[in-house]
Amino acid sequence: MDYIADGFKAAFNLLISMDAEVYSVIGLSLVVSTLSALIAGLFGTVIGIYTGLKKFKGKKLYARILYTMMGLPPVVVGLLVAILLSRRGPFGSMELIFTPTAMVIAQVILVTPIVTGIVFNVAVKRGREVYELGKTLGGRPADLLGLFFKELKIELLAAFVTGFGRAVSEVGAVMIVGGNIKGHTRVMTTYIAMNNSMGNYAQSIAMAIVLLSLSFLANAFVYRAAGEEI
Amino acid sequence: MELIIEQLVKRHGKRLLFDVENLRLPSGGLYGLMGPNGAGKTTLLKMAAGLEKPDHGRFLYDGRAWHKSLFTETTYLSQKAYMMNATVEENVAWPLEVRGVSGTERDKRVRIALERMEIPELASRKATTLSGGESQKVALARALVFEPRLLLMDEPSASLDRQATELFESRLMQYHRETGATVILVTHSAEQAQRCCKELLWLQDGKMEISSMATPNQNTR
Repeated sequence: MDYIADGFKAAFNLLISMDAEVYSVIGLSLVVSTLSALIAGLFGTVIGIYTGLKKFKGKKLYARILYTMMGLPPVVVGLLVAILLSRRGPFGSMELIFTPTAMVIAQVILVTPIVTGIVFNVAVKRGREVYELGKTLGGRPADLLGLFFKELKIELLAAFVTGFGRAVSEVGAVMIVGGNIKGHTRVMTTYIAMNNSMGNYAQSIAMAIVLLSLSFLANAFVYRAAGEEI
Repeated sequence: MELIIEQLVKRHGKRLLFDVENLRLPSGGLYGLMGPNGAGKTTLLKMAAGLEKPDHGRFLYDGRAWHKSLFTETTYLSQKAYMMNATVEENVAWPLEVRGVSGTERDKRVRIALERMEIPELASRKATTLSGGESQKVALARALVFEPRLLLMDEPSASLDRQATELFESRLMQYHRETGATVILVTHSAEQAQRCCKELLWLQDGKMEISSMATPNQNTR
């Protein structure tokens, strides 16, 4: 059991030693996951609000498909994106495979249904009420949108944080489309997986601590920004 | 605002909610809308407010079919009003803000609206922390502050005590007298309809009849 305690000690030393590789991995993870969450957040919010408020035939079936998509296996998404972006694939000429861009694409595909599903659910449950109030008080579309974001900001932010959490913590898709190339596409999760398989527990534990801390900080920041006492 | 219902048909699944041929509600009336539970009173009001579409037929507002600009002249007040996550003052000011009413004028109208509902002390309270009765008073202040010409009210006093109901009715009738707005008030109370309304709309089995309150032609609960 000593190796676990040793791992934590070594992890602490690694973090305070300002190891360049560790911090470049953390930096890339943050950039890729934040960008993915922002893009997915934009798509997911627009689609979720629109489909949640709109009355249309087949809405129940749509909801079921959407909720199923929320659980897309990352390796399947990674495989799909890798096939599309590989040299022989339809988008091979763009030379995106094994780049951070490919990782963002894969994570956007993975996270968009999650954000859409959460926002859709919020829009169905509370959005109609807000929409009807705004309408009957004479609000224009821009006023309604403003009111919607104001009233449901905590839920919308929670959707974004959930999306970010999913993006920053998944390993399957980024491993396949990014390739875990040192200094280029290596992110926290692939770093942990690789070091674990090599028996470098200190590095794995150090990165796991960072990963957990980032998730915690992201949540704390967002809920504070929302001004809610939770 | 004159409201005309033309050949209105609405179904919920296979059930026919309305099949109203033609009905004219002259401008400036204060109409009570009554009928058994599930008769479709809320749906009728929501359709008149432009929130739901009929399967067939239409409403005419001063001779015009529904268009989006009517949202600025009509309002719908539900049984359990939604309070925005803001202060009471901000809730009541919202309809004025979206109409571009300036700061001083807006503040003055908000203050008058709150005083009329006898809730000026609630101005800075967070609206989501209010009781059901207080919320309904705020909702009425918010609904009247922009002086709509057509008021559609869905059992607005259902959660109020006797004293608050009296205040509610008094303010509603005062507003009606002062502005000549057309009001449709859904109620389950025959006494309330008698107190407030001159004419009664009775909705049952998809049909609607209008009668004077002096000689109601239906039994009410």
